[in-house]
Amino acid sequence: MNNNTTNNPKEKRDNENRVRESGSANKTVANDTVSTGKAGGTIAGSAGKTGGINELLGKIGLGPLSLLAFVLLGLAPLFIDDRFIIHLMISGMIFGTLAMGFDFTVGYINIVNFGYAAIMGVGAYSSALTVSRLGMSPWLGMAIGGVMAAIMGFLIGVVTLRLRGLFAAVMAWFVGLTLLAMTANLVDLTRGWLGLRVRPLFATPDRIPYFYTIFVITVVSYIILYRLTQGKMGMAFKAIGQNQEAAHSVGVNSTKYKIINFTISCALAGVVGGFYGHFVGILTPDVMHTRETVEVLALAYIGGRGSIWGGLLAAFIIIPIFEYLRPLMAMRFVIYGLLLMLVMILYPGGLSQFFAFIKAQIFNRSSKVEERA
Amino acid sequence: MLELKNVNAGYGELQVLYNISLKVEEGEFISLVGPNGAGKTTTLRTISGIIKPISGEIDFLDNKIETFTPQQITRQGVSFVTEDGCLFPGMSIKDNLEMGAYIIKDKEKKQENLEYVFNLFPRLAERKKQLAGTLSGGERKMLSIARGLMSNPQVLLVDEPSLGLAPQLVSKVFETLKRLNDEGVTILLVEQNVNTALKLTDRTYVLEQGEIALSGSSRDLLQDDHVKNSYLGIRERE
Repeated sequence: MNNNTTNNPKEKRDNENRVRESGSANKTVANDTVSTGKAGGTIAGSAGKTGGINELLGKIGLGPLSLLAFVLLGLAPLFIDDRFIIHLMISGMIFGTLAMGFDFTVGYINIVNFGYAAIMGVGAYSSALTVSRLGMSPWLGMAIGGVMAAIMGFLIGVVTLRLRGLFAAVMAWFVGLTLLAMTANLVDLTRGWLGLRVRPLFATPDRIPYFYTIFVITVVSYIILYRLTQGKMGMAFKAIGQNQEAAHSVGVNSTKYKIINFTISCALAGVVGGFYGHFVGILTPDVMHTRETVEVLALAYIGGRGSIWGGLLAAFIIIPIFEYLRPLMAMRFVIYGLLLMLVMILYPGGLSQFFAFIKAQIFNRSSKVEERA
Repeated sequence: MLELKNVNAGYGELQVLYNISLKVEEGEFISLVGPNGAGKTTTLRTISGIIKPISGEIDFLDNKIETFTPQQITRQGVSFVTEDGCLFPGMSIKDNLEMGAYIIKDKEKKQENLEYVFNLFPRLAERKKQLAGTLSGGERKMLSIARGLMSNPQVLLVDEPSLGLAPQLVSKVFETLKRLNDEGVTILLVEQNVNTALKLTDRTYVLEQGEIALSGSSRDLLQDDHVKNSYLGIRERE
């Protein structure tokens, strides 16, 4: 953030002095001032020829570091033979993608969707049932799962989002509980607690095809969510999240944007839910439980609200830890609770803020070196 | 351009405004003064659509806006600078200002407005990357006025800009408002600081217990006995 001020304070001051002298008529000078900000940001990053590619990648939200991370992740199955590790990565991506979708709501319009797992369950069950009852392809099933979840999200949105933050959260939670109870009790349709067998996505027991399916879902979701949080719509989301009254007063239609946000976030949960069902092979109403929402919530918060990618990173760190340290698994929610409290109290910005801090440190140092040279 | 006709309004069961009629012509600088709880802020909230009137009519330009939503009223050209500033604390000054121009589609126009307010408030230009939540009271006030201007409003409703500011900053804010009015911005100012408001503005409405008690040119009201006793007199004794 403060990059710019530390980079070239003198130049900035000069510019502003010029603006003050020039009056409103002189357009070019002021333009100059406004663009210094941008220039300051890129000076430290790269110069000249890589600028074009960087800009293109920047548009879809990929910096050199995140691009590298995604490429490494995409290539991982080529080097890793261990089925278990591949399985972990798939889990990481499932939870990470859910956390990204969750953050899209909580980190921007500032509403905690406590029914998120239930919405994911709607997607999972819709997909499983269209495949088993109607004999459709699982791929189509996943799409239908997404659509059903989106409809659900839209409806919840219409009912709840006129309410303020906490009320909307509680309402979404109740809707989630109702959906859970329905799934458990509509035994004819869902087989309730007996569990619904789901046709797998691929005929092979191999995990690699699953890996690439969720990999594509994750990358595409990240890019879509990132794009949506930039530009005018993203500004509107943030404005609503920070101060709804103020958002109204500048002309933002908050209900509309909240519903759009909720629908998108739920659609994503539905698609991931559909995948989850076809990946695991069996569904019980448990997947819709509030504690699943809490798990996603914890990942999103630990990753850093309002960053989108934070939750994905958090999932890759935390899910494997639990899987490796089996005894911890039973204590999972205690640990999530503790972690959540620690993050909220000590470092509300989460992992993403930590990275921003490190980045700023590195850039500051490099700019100091430039000055000395 | 803005006219309230017999407006009654309030919060739920509690009626605050009784038969308010007032008129703002283009280019005027109007103040609305009165004691605490008289309904000054409520009047502004009613005009900007946050509260719906119980009865009465609000005309703005060629529309009856009393049934419009706040967003629609903003789009008509009414900009409301609230008492607390109503900023986006986690956004930079520049983003706050850009949010102010949210309803403007034309990018060049946005840029022009940005330059205009940066000229008006060079201090904001110096700190455009700083988060609004970290600003001082005076800077916040300036930012909220600047943001109000970003949407090219036809009329600017300003609620108690002097509240919570040091005297020196207060006069600075008033100077700015005066300058804006000289440049052609129509302003409806709500103010408790009656003395200053009367010296600054063209016309004044005095609101007492939800009704318009007095109105007229500000210069005349400065000489008015009731105003002298109730408002100016008390201030002198302090």
